Amino acid sequence: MTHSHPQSDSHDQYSHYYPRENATNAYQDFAPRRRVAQPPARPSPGAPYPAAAGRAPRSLHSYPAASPPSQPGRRQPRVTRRANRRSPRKFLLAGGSMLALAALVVGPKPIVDRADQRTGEKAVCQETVQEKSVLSRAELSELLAIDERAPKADVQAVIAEPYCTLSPVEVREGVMAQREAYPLEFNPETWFVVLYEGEEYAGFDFRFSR
Amino acid sequence: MRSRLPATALLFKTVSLLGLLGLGACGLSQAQVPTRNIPVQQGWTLQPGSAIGGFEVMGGLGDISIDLGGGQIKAPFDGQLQPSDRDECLAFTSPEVPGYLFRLCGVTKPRLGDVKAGQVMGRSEVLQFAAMRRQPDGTWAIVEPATEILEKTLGQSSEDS
Repeated sequence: MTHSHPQSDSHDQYSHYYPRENATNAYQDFAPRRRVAQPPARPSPGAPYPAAAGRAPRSLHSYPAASPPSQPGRRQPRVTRRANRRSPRKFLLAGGSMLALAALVVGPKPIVDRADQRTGEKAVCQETVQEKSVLSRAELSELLAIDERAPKADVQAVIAEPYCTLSPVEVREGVMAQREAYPLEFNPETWFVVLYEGEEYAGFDFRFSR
Repeated sequence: MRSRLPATALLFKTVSLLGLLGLGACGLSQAQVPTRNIPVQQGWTLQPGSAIGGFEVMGGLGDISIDLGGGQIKAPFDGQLQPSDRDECLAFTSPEVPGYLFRLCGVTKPRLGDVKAGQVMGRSEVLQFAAMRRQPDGTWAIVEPATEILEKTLGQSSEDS
């Protein structure tokens, strides 16, 4: 999608809001919204109230400029004017609270980022072996190249002590499996879990703590 | 009146926004769970889903058949339940048991997607359970499942039995 369309559209619609020289402003897309949010306290009498007035949203044009106070014939009740002048603020408030709500929904993830490893640890680990152990990108790519059913020693040549172990589990009848876990250095809430059966490497998986 | 009108608008907007968010969240959680291909290392002719004499094969060599009589099937670990390339079978995998896959055939009303250990994954009259171990060539070899895993899948801890 090119930018030419929306820009020219918004420029048409809001041209009365900003001076000519702004037309070259690279950020003009954002200019109209800001203007709408803070209606001019006193509309300058010279400002051209444009042809667009007919199709513009109500909230934009219901403020006093629509009926100049100097008209003696038509009385504009004060109350309505004040209410109308306040309505954009109400919408700003509504918009703001919606943004805040959205931020609340989206936000918590990055905020608790640091705690992630610890929650992940609780979910994954049974016994901590080496707290400083992490898996680097280079180690990970070497590990991915190892075939399932390779000797356990092949895997351990790449990665030293695990961060922790999980409880032994019997998946196949008569064979106890050992499991070890490593947090990724570059993404600590993701854990690399590896499973051995005796001296044989069975496979790996990633565990995402959410 | 004049003070109530914007407040109503605000309320309306907030409610509609909440509704939208809720809708979005539902859409996310019910997103399509990708189908899992399960190439079996042992290339047996008759497998679940094959036909013989015009009848459907429910379980093949290596499947443990359990008469559940409509009972529940539970997740043995935190993991994911996915549909498989064969309509009547599901694949359960868990990052807690890397290198393994459990194939469950004959499950009704499956709860696809992420499941927690102990959570109901569906029901079954006769469950066909196969434990599969990943091979270097990407196929899955059917192996004998440990009874502990089966007990967990049937919703019983090993202390019960």
